[in-house]
Amino acid sequence: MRSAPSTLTPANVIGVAAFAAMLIALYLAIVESPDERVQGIHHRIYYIHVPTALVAYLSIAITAVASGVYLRTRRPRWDRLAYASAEIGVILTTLVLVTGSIWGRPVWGAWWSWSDARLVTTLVMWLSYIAYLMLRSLSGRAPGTARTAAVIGILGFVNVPVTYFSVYLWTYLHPLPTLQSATDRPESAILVPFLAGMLAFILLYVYLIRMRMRVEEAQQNLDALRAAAEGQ
Amino acid sequence: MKSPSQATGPKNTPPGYAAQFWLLLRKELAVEFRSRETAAPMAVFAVAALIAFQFSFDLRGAVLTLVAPGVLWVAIIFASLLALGRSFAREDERGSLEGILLSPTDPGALYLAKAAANVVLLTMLEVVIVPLSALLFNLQLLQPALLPTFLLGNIGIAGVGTILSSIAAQARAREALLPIMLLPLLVPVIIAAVRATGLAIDGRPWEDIQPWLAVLAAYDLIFVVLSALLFYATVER
Amino acid sequence: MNVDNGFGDFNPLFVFAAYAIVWIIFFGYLYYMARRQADIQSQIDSLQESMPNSNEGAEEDDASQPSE
Repeated sequence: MRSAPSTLTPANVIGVAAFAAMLIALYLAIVESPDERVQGIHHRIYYIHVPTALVAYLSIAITAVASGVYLRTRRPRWDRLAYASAEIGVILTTLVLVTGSIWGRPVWGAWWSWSDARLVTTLVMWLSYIAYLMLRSLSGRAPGTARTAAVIGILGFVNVPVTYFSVYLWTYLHPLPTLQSATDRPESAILVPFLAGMLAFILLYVYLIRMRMRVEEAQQNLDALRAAAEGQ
Repeated sequence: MKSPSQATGPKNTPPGYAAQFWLLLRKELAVEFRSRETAAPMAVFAVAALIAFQFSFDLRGAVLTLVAPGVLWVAIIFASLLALGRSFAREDERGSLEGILLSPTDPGALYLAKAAANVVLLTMLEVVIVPLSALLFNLQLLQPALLPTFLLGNIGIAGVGTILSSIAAQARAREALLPIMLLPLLVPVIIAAVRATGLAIDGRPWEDIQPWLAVLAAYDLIFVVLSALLFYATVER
Repeated sequence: MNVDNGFGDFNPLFVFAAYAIVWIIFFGYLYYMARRQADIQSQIDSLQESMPNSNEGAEEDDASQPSE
């Protein structure tokens, strides 16, 4: 069961591909891409920030869908997928908030803005899924945790568009100084490094999910063994 | 409580969804009014919170109209945690939930009854503290638009809070988990309820308040329906 | 907007920080998971050694346990 010496397993192939894609994306974003007119060098943060954000939303969506499928099928595999995707989603969302702040400081002049619906919604989503992870870690391996966590996984996701709309309406009907970033550049110059970043993060996501699910499976096996040992 | 399950003997057909809802709601309220272990502490807590806010923000003059709606709703939401925390902890202490679930009760009806009981408790709380804050802070809180605002806000808080209470009751550190899970989900309610309340206090026309009531209504609809459908997963034993 | 960030308007440090944090967090997480996997595996191995005669029963539990 111990991971076999590095051969051509699917996990290893994905891992190597993810690492290579990360390096290529880095090269395209830093070396190939020219400075942007308005934001200058800081525009390069876009190529890591936006793919991170999109994959973060994707992984939260996968948590919600896997939670729903788990409630229907009760197959532990779906619960492990939901859990793994939530944990990786929280890490990605943390990176979204951090890289967003690092981008915002030189370009907007502020680390944070309460008047941008995307920022506030991302923060709320982040907190919701930290609550999800806390529920899971505080409930331990109690039976039923998978079920109750699945409910939180779904409710938190449904709340994302509702929160976005509320915050949008809040800023729209109650104008605050809005901050905007101008990105008037030829599309293709952005598109190539952006797509490279997307590919890199999606591969990395798949790799991490597989790894995290395996850790969870091993943990469940360990718990079962412990229960069996105690029962004797 | 035994009475609802006894009323439906094995020969009778179990009561329908609506009848179950009414039975369970009456049971919830009967338990609450007999013990009074939630309503009174909520009100006292909310008043104490208002005093704390007064000296934190110095609620006089221009600050008052800016901050008062938020102060009121934060006091209500914090006080609601007391009711929501009790909602299922009480069942757990007595082991009475198992009895209800053994009877042919629809979990959705149980959820709606619990949520409705929490709406009643929140409304009772507001009947006390809204006039009181109008008096203490000299606020124009007798606006007709506040009626739907508070009602829809209560449904939102109770709707999400009730299912989360059932989840938290099964976990360790339930007192900490409930607010951690609840507050992020309530962000749209806080935004819309505070704005609507602020506009109503300012005496603004209906057209200005309406969008926020629509947000609250949409939120309530989405989360109450979703929770009623998902609730079975939190009470399964 | 005129930004006084102490380093001048266009500062590669921001770009470097953004990329560095993402890479560091990812490798940290990978390392943490590899450690956890190894740790769990060693615990499983030692448990199985400590009860050699009950291995089969435990194995069956493996399959049934996660279904709750």
